[in-house]
Amino acid sequence: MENFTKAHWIFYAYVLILFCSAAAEKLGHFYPSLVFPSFSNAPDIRHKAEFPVAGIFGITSNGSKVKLDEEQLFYNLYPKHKYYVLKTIASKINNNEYSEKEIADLKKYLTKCLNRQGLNNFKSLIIVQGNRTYNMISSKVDHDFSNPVYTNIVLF
Amino acid sequence: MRLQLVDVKGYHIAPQYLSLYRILYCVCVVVFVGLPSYTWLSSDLNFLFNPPQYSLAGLFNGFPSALFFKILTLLNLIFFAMMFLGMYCRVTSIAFAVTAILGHNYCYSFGKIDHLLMWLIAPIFLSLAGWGDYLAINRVKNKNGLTDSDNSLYIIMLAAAIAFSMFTSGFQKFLGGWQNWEAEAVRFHLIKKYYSLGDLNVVADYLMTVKNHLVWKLFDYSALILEIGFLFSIMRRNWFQLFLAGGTVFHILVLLMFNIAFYSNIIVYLVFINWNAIFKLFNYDFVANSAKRIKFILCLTAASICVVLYWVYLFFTAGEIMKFPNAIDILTGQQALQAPSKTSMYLLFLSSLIVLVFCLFVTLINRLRARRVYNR
Repeated sequence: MENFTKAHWIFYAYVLILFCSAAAEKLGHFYPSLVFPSFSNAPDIRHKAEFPVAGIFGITSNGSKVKLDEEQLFYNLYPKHKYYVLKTIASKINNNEYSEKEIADLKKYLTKCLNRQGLNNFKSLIIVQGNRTYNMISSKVDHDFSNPVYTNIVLF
Repeated sequence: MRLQLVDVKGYHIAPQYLSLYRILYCVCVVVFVGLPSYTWLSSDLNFLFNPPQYSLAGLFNGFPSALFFKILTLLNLIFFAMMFLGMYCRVTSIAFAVTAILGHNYCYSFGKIDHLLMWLIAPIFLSLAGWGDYLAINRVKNKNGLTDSDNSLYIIMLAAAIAFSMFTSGFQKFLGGWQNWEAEAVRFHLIKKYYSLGDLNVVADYLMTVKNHLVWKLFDYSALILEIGFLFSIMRRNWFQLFLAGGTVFHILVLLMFNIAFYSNIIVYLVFINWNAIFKLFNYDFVANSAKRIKFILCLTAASICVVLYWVYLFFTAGEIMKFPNAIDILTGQQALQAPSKTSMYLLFLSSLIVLVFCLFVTLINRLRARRVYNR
């Protein structure tokens, strides 16, 4: 038989609230939240490991493609989130969530970031999202993205 | 016989020790982490605004003005300094946590949330538990004049927050199939990080060459058992301490393998050590002597406050920065204004390993002493 005190009741109610908050996470993302979902998947990697990647490329006026370093490009944003910034931009463009003013602001911002690096020869930028595959037997990774999705941002 | 499913009272920590922990917590922030700054955010970045669905930032259409973030950063800095010195500690600790969480709401509005939350919510629980009662500029006593009231409820609530967060992580790993014998989940995430970040260290280089299935399953299962087991360990404080020791090793491995410095939890784990046992080893009664000014703590506080004053100087001169640099980064000239440098993080984790080994040593010595007394 448990010796229940007021502290026990408060504690159990608190734990119940924590579990309810975890259930509420099913509705969408919360912040602040004590639910830590990172690193949860465990796909079958006996033959190959496939993982999502994203990159940004600059397109010059003669059509050649140059890989850009996101870390340097988004110099004034939190460094560990730069991959997600690419995803956010791509998602908003592909789902037509940007207003005309926001698109203009985005172009202005990207041009400023490129100019800062002395890169003013690009007519557009392309965000490429896809998967990369690691071969478990040969321990080599494919350099090309599989199932790529392109998002084009015309600068001029 | 009455059985206690959860031993709430066992989590009591004398406020004198909690106050010492408050100083150590603030020193850790000053020396290893640095304080966040929100001055880099403004409505100019509205085209990147993508907050979590259910968050304070999610209620609005974009970032507030730059002035809002400047005021928020300054307030957070002032509340931290006041909390450190123990000025109106209960109020300033909660205000520090609230302003920091509010700022992080907007930092995480670019499509990604970091889970470095524990060090921000700990001041709320610990201030209620009495971490501002001693070693403070102005001590606010309880109505009855006693400061050593039963604070175990607030401490176990913090323990439950840690345990629950670890459990949710473990449980989702379980749902994701980490327990399947064929899966090599840790290996998959290492490969993924290795080729997406490209910024991992030598341990990762070595582990990429390991192909033994048993080794990877050992990593998978130990992570699962540790994270899920955390929730059940809160029933007894000594069980919880055991899991915290495991958690410390776990976070060190995560740093070495994935280059993810999960400092948020490491700093908070320290509060759960056996304070009594440590001071007993040195025959020093900290509870009786903590009201007196202790020179070492005073020097530590004075040195740290110099760094905080430097942060105030940076606030007015440095413009848009993401964080105020920690003491190690200032001393090594790295001035990392975006995230803590690798050096400071490695030193923090090395310090936590030293504390862990020291605590194990103290436990061993005390057990040997107790056995000797018993045999006599």
